[in-house]
Amino acid sequence: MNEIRLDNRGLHPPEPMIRILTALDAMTGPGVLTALLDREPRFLFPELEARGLTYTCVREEVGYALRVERGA
Amino acid sequence: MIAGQGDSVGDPVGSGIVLAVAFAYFLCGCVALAAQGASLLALHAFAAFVVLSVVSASNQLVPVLTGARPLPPRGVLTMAAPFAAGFALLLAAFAGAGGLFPAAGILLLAGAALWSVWTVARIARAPLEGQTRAAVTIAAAAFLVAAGLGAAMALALGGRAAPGLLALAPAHASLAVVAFASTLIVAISYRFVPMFALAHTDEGRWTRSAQWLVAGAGVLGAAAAAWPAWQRAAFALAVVAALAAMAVHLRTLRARLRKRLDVSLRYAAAAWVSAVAAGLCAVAATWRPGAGSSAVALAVLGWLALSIIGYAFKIVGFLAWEHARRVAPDASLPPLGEAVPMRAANAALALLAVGALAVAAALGAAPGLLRSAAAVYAAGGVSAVVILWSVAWRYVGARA
Repeated sequence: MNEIRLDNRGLHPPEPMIRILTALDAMTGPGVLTALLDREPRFLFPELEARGLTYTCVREEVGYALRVERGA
Repeated sequence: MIAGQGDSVGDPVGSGIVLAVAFAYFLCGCVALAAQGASLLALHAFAAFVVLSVVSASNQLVPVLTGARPLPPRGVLTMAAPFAAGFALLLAAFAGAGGLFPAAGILLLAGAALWSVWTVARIARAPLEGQTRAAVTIAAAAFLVAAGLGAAMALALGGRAAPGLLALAPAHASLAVVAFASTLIVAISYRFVPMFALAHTDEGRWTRSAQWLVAGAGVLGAAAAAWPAWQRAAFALAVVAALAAMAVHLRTLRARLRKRLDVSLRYAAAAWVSAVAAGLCAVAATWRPGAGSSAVALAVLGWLALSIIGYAFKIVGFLAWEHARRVAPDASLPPLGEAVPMRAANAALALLAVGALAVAAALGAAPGLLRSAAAVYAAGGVSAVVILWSVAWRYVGARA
């Protein structure tokens, strides 16, 4: 089971999206990616769905926490 | 799949409805241009399109970028209502009901004051994107002053103020087209281009200089409206700004990760060329005033309209996708990447770009060809709106 953690705070768009998609595309087999972000990654959600991934994104005290799960 | 889990920054319904009204005004402008040729009615229908598009987009994009809170759907509809009603009155006044000019001017000024104050107040406390927030603040201030000048001219047209106030038209146009709308589009493009191209951003000290140059050009063009030499300097500054923005974006596009050029960016590229051409025509108009109409046509029909329509191809699908996901969380939605029919969108772009160029050329050199040129532009405009509608409907009509 892969587990990737990214801290994308302080990055300008679309760097967080590029880093997340690059990490997910490099992931082989099932796994979980978590990322901290300054902004809600709204343009990322359709990209995740197009890849068949499930995700949650929750607003936190400072920024957002994204969790993406990749099945087998 | 759970999008945002209830923490999403905004419900897109309000912005979507306002954008639909904006495009209704765009169609109105296309029809008026084809039916009557160049007129103040057609010009202000396109102005309504630009203003309402900005109100719609700013409610979603400014919060996404800066971290400011967006308005709920009812709030953004309230914010847009004075503009929708004010421009309707203004168009009716230009169509012959001259008694409506004062009410239109006052309503639009009230709307501009409300939107500008609200926009500046909410981004002042936002935590991110200092340069974008500064550009939006300058644009909002320019918009408010432009609306004030417009209201004064509306009172003059309605016989409630001195006719000499109509001499404010060049300053009004410079603030509205350059300092307000162009500054916003240039500022937002620094984020949209890399996002839509999926390209790494490398923001240096001078990267965003174009947004300051274009804002300065708009303000200088308005302040120096009575002095041709200073106006020439202002429009030359606008040309430099357009070239500077184009240079940054071309560098971004060369480093893009998506091989196929996004439809929005094809429209944006045509818009940048129009911006340079509009600036050059405006400079020429300081010697040959006849070129002024061509400059306005290229700026409004080319630069502003193509930028907004191009970005709308991306934004409309996205807002509709978000709405569908909220309404039907488990529905199977078509992938956004394939939502826009590329051939039809490219054909509409060709008609719009050729039409805008032909309208500008006809206004400057061959007035007899104006209606044909306007018909080409209108055909492109109608096609673009039909495509946008079909893209939105694919998602809005989706059910679990």
